[in-house]
Amino acid sequence: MRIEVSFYGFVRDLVTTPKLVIDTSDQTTVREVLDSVVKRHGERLRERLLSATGELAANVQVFVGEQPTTSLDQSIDHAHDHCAEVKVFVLSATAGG
Amino acid sequence: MQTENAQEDLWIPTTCGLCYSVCALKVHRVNGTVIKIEGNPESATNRGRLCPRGVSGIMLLYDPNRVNVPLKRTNPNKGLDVDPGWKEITWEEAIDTVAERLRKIRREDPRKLLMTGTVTTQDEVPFSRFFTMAFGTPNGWNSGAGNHCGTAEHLYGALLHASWAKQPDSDHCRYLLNFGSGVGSGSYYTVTGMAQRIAEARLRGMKHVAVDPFLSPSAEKADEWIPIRPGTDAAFALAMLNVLLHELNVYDAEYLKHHTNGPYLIGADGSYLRDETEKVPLIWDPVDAAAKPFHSPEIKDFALDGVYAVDGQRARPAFAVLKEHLAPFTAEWAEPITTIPAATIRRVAKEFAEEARIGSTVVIDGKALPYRPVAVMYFKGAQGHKNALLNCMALELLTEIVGASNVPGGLLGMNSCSVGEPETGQPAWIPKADRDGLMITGYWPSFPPPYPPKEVRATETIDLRGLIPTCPGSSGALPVVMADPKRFAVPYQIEMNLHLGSNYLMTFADPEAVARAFQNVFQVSFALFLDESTYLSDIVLPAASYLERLSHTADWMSSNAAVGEWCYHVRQPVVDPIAQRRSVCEVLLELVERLEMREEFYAFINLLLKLKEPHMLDPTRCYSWSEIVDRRYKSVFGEARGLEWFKKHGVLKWPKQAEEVYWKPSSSARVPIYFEWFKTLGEKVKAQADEIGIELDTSAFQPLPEWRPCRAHEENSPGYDFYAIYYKLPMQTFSGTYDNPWLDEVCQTNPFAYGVAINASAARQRGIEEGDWIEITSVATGHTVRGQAALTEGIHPEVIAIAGCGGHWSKYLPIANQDGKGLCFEWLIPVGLDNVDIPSLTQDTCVKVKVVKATDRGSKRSSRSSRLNDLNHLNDLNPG
Amino acid sequence: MVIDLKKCIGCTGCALVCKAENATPPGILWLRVVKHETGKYPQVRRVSVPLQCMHCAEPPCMEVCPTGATFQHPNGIVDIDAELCVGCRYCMMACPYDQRFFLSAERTYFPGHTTPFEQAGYQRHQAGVVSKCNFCTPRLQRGLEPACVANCMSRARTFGDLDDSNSEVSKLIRDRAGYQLHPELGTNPSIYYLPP
Repeated sequence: MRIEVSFYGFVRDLVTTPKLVIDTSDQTTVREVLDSVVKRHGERLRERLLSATGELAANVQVFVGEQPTTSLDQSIDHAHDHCAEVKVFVLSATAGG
Repeated sequence: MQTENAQEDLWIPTTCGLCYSVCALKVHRVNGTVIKIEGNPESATNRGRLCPRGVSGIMLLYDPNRVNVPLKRTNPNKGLDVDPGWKEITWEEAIDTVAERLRKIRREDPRKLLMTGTVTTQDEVPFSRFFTMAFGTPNGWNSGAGNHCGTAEHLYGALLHASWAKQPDSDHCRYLLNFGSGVGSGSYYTVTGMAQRIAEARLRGMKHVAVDPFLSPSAEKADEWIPIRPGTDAAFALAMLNVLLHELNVYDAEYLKHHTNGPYLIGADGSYLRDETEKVPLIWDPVDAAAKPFHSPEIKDFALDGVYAVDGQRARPAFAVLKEHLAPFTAEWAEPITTIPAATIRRVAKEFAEEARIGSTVVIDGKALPYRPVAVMYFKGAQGHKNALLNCMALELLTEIVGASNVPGGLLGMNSCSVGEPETGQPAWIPKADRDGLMITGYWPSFPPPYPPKEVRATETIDLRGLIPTCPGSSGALPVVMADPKRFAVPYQIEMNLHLGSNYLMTFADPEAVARAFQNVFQVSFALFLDESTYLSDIVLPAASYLERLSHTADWMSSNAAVGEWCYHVRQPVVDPIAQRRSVCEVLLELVERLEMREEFYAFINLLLKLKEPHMLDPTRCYSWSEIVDRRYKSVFGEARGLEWFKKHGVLKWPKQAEEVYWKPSSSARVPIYFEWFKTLGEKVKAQADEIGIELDTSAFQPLPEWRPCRAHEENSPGYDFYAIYYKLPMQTFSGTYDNPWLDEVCQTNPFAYGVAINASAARQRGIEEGDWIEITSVATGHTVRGQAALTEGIHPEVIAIAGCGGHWSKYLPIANQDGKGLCFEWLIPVGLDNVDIPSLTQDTCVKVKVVKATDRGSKRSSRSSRLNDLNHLNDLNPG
Repeated sequence: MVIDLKKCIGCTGCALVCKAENATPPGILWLRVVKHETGKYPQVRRVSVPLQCMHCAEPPCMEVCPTGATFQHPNGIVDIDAELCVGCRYCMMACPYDQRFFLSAERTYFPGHTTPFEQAGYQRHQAGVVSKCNFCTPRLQRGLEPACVANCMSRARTFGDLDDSNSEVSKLIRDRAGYQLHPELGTNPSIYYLPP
């Protein structure tokens, strides 16, 4: 399956090309996708995205297609044409008085 | 005003933008000229009334000193008093320059971009944060971190009240104990609405006890004023808690058992005892004499007291640990610290305990709810000290112990819970429980909310918030880190500041030290005025004021009062932007196109404004600002209520339901009275700081409150025998309104507005009489400010009090920069981590000063630092 | 008019809404708020007292006016006909409450610049005459309350008919022991204060 992974936000210092395409098996999970992106961009990306216990960091929001997911074990289905889209938003503080 | 012969005579609904209260306006425009600004009676936010700032907005709109054209700096040297040598440029050139800089930074390392904002631009700042987020930088700073805003206070808002801020239940409260908040007196949240509500409460017979070093505008209206030594509020609160639990034995057991972590078992190491299988906190069931998971359906009762053996471990309920912890903090202990007689503390505790009416109920909307008509308020006064985290904790526990938190009569989160507008069910948020049963806010205006605790990391941001994740708001560490990022292992330097209407040189601390952090930065200012901070700018862009711009949202989480109605407003231009002024948001949209980041920016707008189909932004086309605003309104309030509806009607409102206002009784989410995770978090911060190689005192990361002296309390330099404190008056907002001639005129009728409040006897002992010019020298910064003495009996003899942020020196503010227009308090406050509460990164805004009568009458012309003119050495730091 | 000093927070919103409504020129505040402090530390009371024309039933200012410029409306409001005023300022000396103001020269808030608001509003003020609060008579004629009453952000002000014993103002004065400033002068002011 061909997965297009897009990164948004406080991650551009690590991921210079915010859109990447990876090829995976047809049965994959968000975790596996992120693992493969981390392999490409380095461990610092893992630190940005995941907590020490390996969960999604509190300021990271992941969408598979249009669906938000909080679980790294969320499976990614090949919706059509063996293609899927994963969006990763890394948010930063917006308020403060 | 007469409107005869008018071809045009319109009343336009919009919202005020002169503070964070967001009052609803009706603006009267006749033949294109704004002739009156009135409160919109349709809105519950301000119920048709306005404060002096609100009515004087006309003078801001038409002030000829406003920035009207884009400017660029010609003088390569930067400094506090160095004229930038402004040269007019075209918008085209300005945008080109800014876009080019941004492109370069984004390519190199987007983290090098900082955005500074202020809380009076509540509409533009969040939208601009979407821009910086999409850009790829985590760095933003609201300069209210100095003497304006809550920091630790907002943390407890999140942990205990599911909201950014809180207010007493003005409809039912009978005893308001107020530690230095301006509630009801013309500052603090929903200024105009609360002035009315608290005035009504006064007539209803609510007793207001003000604990404050100064007989402030709020304390003036209190039934009792208890002067206190600055920064000792926690000692007063701890002694009250001691009286409640050890002398009167008054606490709300039912509330503590079911709505707090009071029954959670604490082991010898200070942490929760946890269940083997689910790893959730345990409680002790005294009926079955057994430990059970806190959420077990088998629980017959919760123990709050006692010592138990659980799997060989000695454990006590959190409440029992708290109670024992409070034992030494007697009223006699607090007396020499606070200067308040022990008998007074006991009496107030007794009144508070009796008026809390524990066990009583009241029927609201057909439901019997706990009735606890007491509230403890505090804000910058009690919070703005070195030990903010522990100070605020002590104050908050008073409300929690008697069960007066988010129930009728008590202390209410400002909009903790929203079930949404009846037709659309939006916007909606409800506090919920985490795995430990503790409350996570339903909504928090930042990311992520302060609870559950965040991870401690090497600091990637320029404000230490990665390392110290407990800081909920604007960080007091930013100028420190920014001046020397390497020391904090921050792997980059800030190169550019997008500067949105924040005069940070006059609202944080020592302007000289803050300037040092900013002066090598390329600064682009969206400015109303060429204020002090724009002296450090490279480009200044003429910004549209709140009367000249459209906003995607006028309102924010704490712009509606806690009680009453939900109101959502429009902010629309009442006149076209004058001269070449432009809306910040529109300029940002243009920059997005220039930087080719539309896809990313729209993705953030869709996500963070929660746009829904068919109103989501499609990155294959380009939208105008008003189209985006329209889509936001339609996404939230339905197809029929887009921008046009709001422009016409001004406000959409509906009544608040009892379970929204008084959400606690029906919520399963508990709140902490024992802040269990603080200790381990502090250990992690310490370990990380050690690794980075910075010395950080993390000892205040504690689960239970204490009072500790601040720097000012331990300062013994001879002659420095006054505490200098800051407070707010309803005639000015921060530093931004001082050029308004109407506000200036009323300030001149109030001896305290531009003067220095000083105890009459203490002043006369030093030969100081009313109106004398005095010199105030800070022991911490060495700077001296000058002002005129306003003698009063209404201030603690050890204290001088300075209102607002006067003492401007920009030559472009001809009204504000005149002699005798107030003092710039910030010169007295040092910048540095030893002046910051580490867990919350709250800046200490209290300092010891020397006060002498000015001998040189000729020099009274200067109302600011006498060292200011010698600051040219600052330029040595600038590579040019 | 009744001003409830228990409700008033001294914000000065009344002073500025008066200015906005009446476009009074620089240096002229028809309405101002003074602070009155009593007691010794720590037993201190500080009260905000809004002051404006008291609209006396027996106005000493009217008595001394040589041209008849100062007059009383049938409803009791004391007003000035600017066309008749010769600027002699006897009235200012006669007013025991110091609530009359003389405009010596036309000035604007920003030296050398007249804002559109001032262009529209200053037509109503001329140099060389005395002016003061007229309880927003033009607003009353349109059925509105005086601006200071309509805008007060602690709702401390109530406007009504003192001659009607059933009016809200009469009730407030009765129930809350309302008082006039310096009643001993015999001017019988139409502004009553409710105790703080």
